[in-house]
Parts: sequence; structure tokens; C-alpha cells
Amino acid sequence: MDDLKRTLEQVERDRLETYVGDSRYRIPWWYTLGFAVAGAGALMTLGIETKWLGVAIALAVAMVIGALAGVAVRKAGAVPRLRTMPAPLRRVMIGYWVVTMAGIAAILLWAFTTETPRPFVWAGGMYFALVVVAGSVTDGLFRRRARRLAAEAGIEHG
Amino acid sequence: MDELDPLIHAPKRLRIMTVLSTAEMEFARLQERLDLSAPDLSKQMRQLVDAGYVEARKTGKGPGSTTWYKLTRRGRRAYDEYVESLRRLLGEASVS
Repeated sequence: MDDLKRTLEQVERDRLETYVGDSRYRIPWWYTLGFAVAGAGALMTLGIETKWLGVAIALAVAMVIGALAGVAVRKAGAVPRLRTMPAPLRRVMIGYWVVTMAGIAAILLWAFTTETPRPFVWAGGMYFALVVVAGSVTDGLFRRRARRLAAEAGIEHG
Repeated sequence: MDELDPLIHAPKRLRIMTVLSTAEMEFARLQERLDLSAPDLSKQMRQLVDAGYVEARKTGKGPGSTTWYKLTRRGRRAYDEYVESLRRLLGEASVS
């Protein structure tokens, strides 16, 4: 029975290690920055009168974001699942998405209704600030919680 | 008493299945995580792929190509059942 107990303990440890043992599996800072720049650029294109230019820029932005994600995944060598992520870490990630999505919705609503000149340039700037701030706060929170979970489980935090 | 899937119960394969239950992973990263030699990991992976528990996907061509692994739906079900059986066995043992 001791063998089975040790087996289950190893299972729990291996599960946790994916999320807390290696910092390479986290979203890298340059991805957040690239995502912020590209997203801000996409928002700014909404103000361009020339439709084809707007479409071309939006496509380029989508390609940049896709390429950044591809590089981040290849560099990490792993794509962790959200579903099996420990609850304290999952809450941080879900919080990030909820805050950024709500922020984007609020920025778009403001940009489409305001009388301010060049609203989409302002909206792009706001989006950039939102993603950078939310990304940094999320990363800090994630690191702290991961460090705590690793310490509790006796796993070396990478 | 519950039967534990012998294919998963082997220590190396259990660790592989556990790691893959949390992430899709590249061969080199898996090797590093589990501290296994490349031939040993290849052998274990072949058994899991043959059983339909793991799916392999090659990316790139030539020397820079890499193989990514992830659990299949069948593999995930078998793994979840394995862990559940393990918990049940331990629960029964602590009661008796």
C-alpha cells in the first residue's frame, strides 16, 4: 500500500511541476509587449478611412500575433492545459482574460461614442496600457502563487 | 478490488502520462522533465502511441524537426480511470 501511496504522491507532484517548476512555460514578457503593440496597432487602424489599408494592417497584426504565439510555444516546448492547472493559478489567468476583455469592450464603446478627435489612436494607446499593466500584474501574481505552491510541495521553482 | 492498467502502472510510463495530462509537450522537453535517455523515452512513447493513449505530431523538417506528444481522448480516459482507481484503492486500504 505504501507503494501506491508513493505513486499517487509522485503523480500529484508531476502534475504540479508543469505549472510551478519551470518558468519557461509561463507567457514571456515579450509576448505580452508584442501583443500590446500589435493589438494597439489593430485598434488604430479602425480610424483609417482607406478600407484596403485597414484590412492589410489588420491582417499583418494577426500574423504578428500568431507568429509571436508560435515562437513562444516553440521556445517553451510545452503547451500547458488550463483545465488541469491548480485552482489558485487558474484564477489568475481567468482574471487576466476577464479584465482585458472587459477593458477592450469598454475602450471600444468609448471610441465609438466619443466626440474626441482621433478616438482610435487614443483607444490604441489605452489598449496598450491596459495589456501591459494587466500582463505585468498577472505575471507577478502568477509567480508569487507558483512560488508558494512549489514551496508547499517541495518542488524547486525554476 | 480495482485493476490498475498495467500499461500505465509502469513508473516511467505513468510519469509520462501524468506530464502529458497537464500539457502537450515536445520530445526534448519531456526528456528533460523526466530525466530519461532519448532511446528509453522513444521506447516508452512507442508503446503509448501503439496503445492509442498518446498522439505524436511532427513539426518542421530535417535536423530542426521536433515531435510533440499529447494524450488522446482514450489516453486521457484511461489515465483518469487509473488515478481514480489508485485513489479508491488507497481509500479502501485506509478504511479497512
